[in-house]
Amino acid sequence: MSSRDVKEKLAATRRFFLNFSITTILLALFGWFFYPVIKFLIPPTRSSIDPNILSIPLVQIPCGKSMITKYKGHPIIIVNKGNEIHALSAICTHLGCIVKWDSNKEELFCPCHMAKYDINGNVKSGPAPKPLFTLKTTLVKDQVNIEEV
Amino acid sequence: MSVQPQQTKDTDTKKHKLKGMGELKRWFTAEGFYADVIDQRLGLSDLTHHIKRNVIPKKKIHFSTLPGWIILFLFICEIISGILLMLYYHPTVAEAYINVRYITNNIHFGWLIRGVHFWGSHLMILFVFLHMIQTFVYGGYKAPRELAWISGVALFILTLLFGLTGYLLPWNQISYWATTIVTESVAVIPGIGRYLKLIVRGGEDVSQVTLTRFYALHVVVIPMLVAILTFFHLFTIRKYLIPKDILAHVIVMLVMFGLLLSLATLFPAPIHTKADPFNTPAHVKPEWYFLASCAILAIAGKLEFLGGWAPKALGIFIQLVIIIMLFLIPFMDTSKIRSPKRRPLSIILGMITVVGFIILTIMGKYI
Repeated sequence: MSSRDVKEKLAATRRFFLNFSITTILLALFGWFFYPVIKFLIPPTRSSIDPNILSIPLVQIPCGKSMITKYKGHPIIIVNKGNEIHALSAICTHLGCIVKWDSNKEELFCPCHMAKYDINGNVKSGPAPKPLFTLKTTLVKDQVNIEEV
Repeated sequence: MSVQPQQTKDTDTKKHKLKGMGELKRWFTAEGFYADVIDQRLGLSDLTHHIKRNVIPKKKIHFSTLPGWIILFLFICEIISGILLMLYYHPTVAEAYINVRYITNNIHFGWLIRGVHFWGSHLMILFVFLHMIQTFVYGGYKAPRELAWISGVALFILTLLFGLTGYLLPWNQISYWATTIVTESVAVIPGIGRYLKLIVRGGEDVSQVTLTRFYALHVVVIPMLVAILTFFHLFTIRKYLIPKDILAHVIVMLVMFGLLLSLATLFPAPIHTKADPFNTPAHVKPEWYFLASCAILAIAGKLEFLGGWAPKALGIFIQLVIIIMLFLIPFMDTSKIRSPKRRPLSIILGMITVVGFIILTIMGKYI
């Protein structure tokens, strides 16, 4: 191999190295520019903002009735059975509709595809694949306090 | 013999197929894509021959095209950050202030995007001033580029309106009262002033209607006008538009971007307290680019000896005359000489204007 060949080969690898570095740096710059933009587009989760305990006056949920509200951005259903108060996720595990409380049959049902749950969120019948998750409720001076288990 | 023609036909179709593939291949090579695909369809070479005609200059960096490109770059930054801010901002009296707080404190990098939008507007206005001074000094407004100057002055006014309308949107005390003062000053224009104020505010005072109007102006009307006028402005100077040293320009843009990010990080955009229509704070000042205008109004306020009408009406009238004079510069100075060294009168008048503007701005700060 003549020295000229070696030089040319070296120049070729050098050129490759330079092209590779420049492309990498440009891609890094591009990512560096878009990282904050993408992060900006994703809103922060409610759980980082909302308080851990949700307080609701008991008068808002008469005996035998239910109430639907949001806890950390997630719809929940609060049921007053008179002697006890239950709080569960209101989103049906089948296809995401909001469940309703049937006070006569004492069960939760989903109007979309008639999935049925008992008061503890367990599936009784219908297409629901998973039980509803439950929340801890405590009664403090006419206020229902709801928090995660 | 009978086979021969069939073979030719075969090779023909093969060739044709290959040719088709070759055509398609052109789409996927950079050079082919430009020459065949783009240029054949859009005829860009008519436009780009100005770049190709450029000779590599002996002097490495030419600053003549720099301020204009910086303004365009900052405008693009403003559009991008503005669209991002729009995603979380609701232009209502009840929510606007809370939204701005939320963007700044809770959204990931919200403080950065807002900071970039805030500082980008200041830098953009600063560079518009510099660009106008530069164009004046080098005689860029002279024939055949009068239209470039006129559209440039219109863009200058629109940029100030961008600042004015955007200032109200955070709905804080300072922005609310600065807007009250500015819109009130419109009312002194004889005859139409009262109606103009009603149109701008959409009512007797600055309220939800004003916020909605300013929002519509800030995000739709002014950007559209600026975009159209910018195309026109660039079209009038298309021969002088393309920098001779594109790499140097790209580097300057990156430096500008770095400056923007540093300003947004080191000096965050202020939030202030929420607007209260029943409580005027002590020192209400508009943004720095309106301070000179404030100073003119304050000086005109001393002209009471001419009669009750004089102070406010003259204050507005002087500013209107200044704007009209700006538009008419190409027709007042019709000599063909461009070199600043050979136009002492123009340069001295220009310097007086700039120094006067700076003095008025400083006065506006302390009045």
